[in-house]
Amino acid sequence: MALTYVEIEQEKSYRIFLLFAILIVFYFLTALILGYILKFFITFRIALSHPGLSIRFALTPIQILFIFFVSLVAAIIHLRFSLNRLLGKFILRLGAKPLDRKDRYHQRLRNIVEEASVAIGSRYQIRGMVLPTLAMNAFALADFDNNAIIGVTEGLISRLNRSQLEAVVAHETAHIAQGDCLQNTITCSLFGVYALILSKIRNQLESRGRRYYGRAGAQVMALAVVTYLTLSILQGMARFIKLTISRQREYRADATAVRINRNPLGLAEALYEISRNWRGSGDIGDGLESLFIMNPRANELDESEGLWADLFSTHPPISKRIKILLAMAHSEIRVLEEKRKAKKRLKKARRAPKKVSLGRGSWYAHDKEGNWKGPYTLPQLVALSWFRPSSWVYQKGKGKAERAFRNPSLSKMLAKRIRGRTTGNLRCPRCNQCLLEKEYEGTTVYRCMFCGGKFLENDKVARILLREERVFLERILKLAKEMVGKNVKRYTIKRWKKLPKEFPQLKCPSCLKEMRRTFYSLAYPIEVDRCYGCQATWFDKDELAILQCAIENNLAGKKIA
Amino acid sequence: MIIYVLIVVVIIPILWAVITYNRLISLRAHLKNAWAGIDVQLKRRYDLIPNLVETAKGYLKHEREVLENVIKARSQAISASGVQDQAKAENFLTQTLKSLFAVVENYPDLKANQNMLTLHEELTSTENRVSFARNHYNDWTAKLNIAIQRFPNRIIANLFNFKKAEFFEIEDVSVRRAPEVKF
Repeated sequence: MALTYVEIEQEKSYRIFLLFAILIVFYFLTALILGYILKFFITFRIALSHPGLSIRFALTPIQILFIFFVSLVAAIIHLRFSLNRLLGKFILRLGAKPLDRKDRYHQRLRNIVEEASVAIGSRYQIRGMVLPTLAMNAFALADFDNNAIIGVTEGLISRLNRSQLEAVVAHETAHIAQGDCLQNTITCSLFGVYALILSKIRNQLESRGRRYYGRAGAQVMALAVVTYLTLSILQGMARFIKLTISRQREYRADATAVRINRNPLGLAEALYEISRNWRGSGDIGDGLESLFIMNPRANELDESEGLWADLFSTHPPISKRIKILLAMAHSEIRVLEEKRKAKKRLKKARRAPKKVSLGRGSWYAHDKEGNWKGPYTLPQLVALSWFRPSSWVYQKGKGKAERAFRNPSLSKMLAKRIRGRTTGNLRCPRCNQCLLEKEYEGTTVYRCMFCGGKFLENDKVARILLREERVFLERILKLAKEMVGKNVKRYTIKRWKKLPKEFPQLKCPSCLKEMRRTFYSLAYPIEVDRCYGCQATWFDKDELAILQCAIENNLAGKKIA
Repeated sequence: MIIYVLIVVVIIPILWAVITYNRLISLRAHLKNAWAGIDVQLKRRYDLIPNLVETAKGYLKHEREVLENVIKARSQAISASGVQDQAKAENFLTQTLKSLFAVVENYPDLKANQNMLTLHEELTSTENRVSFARNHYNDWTAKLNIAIQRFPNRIIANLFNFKKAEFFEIEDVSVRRAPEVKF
């Protein structure tokens, strides 16, 4: 076995060569079979029209040579298209995003990835990326120019501690250094990418097939069927190619990861956590499973041993991997289970005590209790502690009452109260004031100083929901329980869809389209405002905390209120 | 016949000598590169320390000694030259940093400080990088040393004055000693 990272690299090139050879052989065989069929039909027709002619079904050597040439060209075209922009295609396909510089957790991952690249002697340009999903998994990609990508899901970034994350990244780095990452990337690019097209065509055939009649429909169908068949063959072949992706490489990568940061326990804990959570089945496309540290789809084949499983499975049994690592660390699986339980208990115990809230012209203002207070001068009015941009104001002798933010001079004076870094063009949909950039659970959110609402881009919602730094007040927990309980009882999907949208709708701060008030999800029916233009979400005061609290405490489906 | 003898006696040894010489040269270049890798990470650490001290200064008014130690260790490490000296200075710096973070544990305000969190993460990362770079350097050192000391290679190494490289070692005794067990 190779001992240093320097030596590991040298044995990888022959495997890639083997892959190309297999591709060419496959094309040749397919073309040969097609050639025979074609020849058979042509000869048959000639024989029918000219009876008495001597018939030869076999191909002549020149024809075989021609077929070989054609298949070679086809294989080369296939290669060129597959290897062109190798990494970019995968990034697009997996939906991986670059790391956010302002996010503390992302910065940590970036550091860890750079450490790993130092550990293997900086021969690869390794880039960290993130998959915006709640699932827990990680993958690695590499191309011919020594560029590599280590992608980690938001779930993993947020839920693992530093040493566990280091171990996962070390595992992926080991794949890169051993070269099975490059081989794997190429295999997936050659054969895996078609699974998506395949499933799409299958859906089309099943749902639309019956609708097309007539000549045009038949032609479309025929084309679809032919494409489908070709792709099926390719996919079948991808399965065959999996034979070359050995299970052993996962064990080897685990071992090398331990060599890199000498922390078998960290890797064992990380694998245990991943195996206990959703690994992204359904979210991560077919045919790319072998890129990941653990198969996104839990299946029996992976968990079983023996020759058959060894041949056709890409990942070894998780329990065995963990057992080997724990043996290195002189520990047992029981310890991990207890740790997990203790963490859960700790989470329950961690609730903060109640917070005590502190708390004053010709202008009148409407206070919280519903009384008109006044008269005030303009500066007095703005200085009132309970005065908000959304408060109703009324100027004596000026007729109608209006919201404070609608009045230009009031709005300007209120803007002076804002302290901190503003975002300039993002304005609170309720108060029409600039939003502040604020750190929340390690990432930046946009918060309105006056109403306490928060504005989040799409991928940040998932991030925040995963992180558990904040401690919630008893009040929030109570609210969360009540809301989830009541709303689950009250709204089924049908009833929710029928509800009229009568309330005034807010404008999205970033794209100014109207947002829709909906539930976060049917399992967690907390009301939020979602923009369907830019996929961002506006949370009114406490709504985000309530949602986080509900998810952390697993309140879905429990009828409490 | 004479030609064959000539090949065996003259050309093959020359060929071997050339190949060995080239191999040693490339090993030495790799070693130099690995050392440069360590240097980059060390520099990164030196750059972080002033920030760290600046952030901690306001909170740690009664623990000036610790901060002064860190600053002293840093300037020692910067002025060190040679593998052994550098290793020694780095170990001292690592120790002082460790004691600084142990002190920080007692100041919850400082610990939760945003700047401090970031700096702590950066320093942890740098420590890891230094140790990884050191491992890498030591891998190459071992390779070069083995190549120089092996028998036939030794002749070439002596002839062209290839010297054994020094390992970047952890000199700290407490790291090496097994922890004491007390009942």
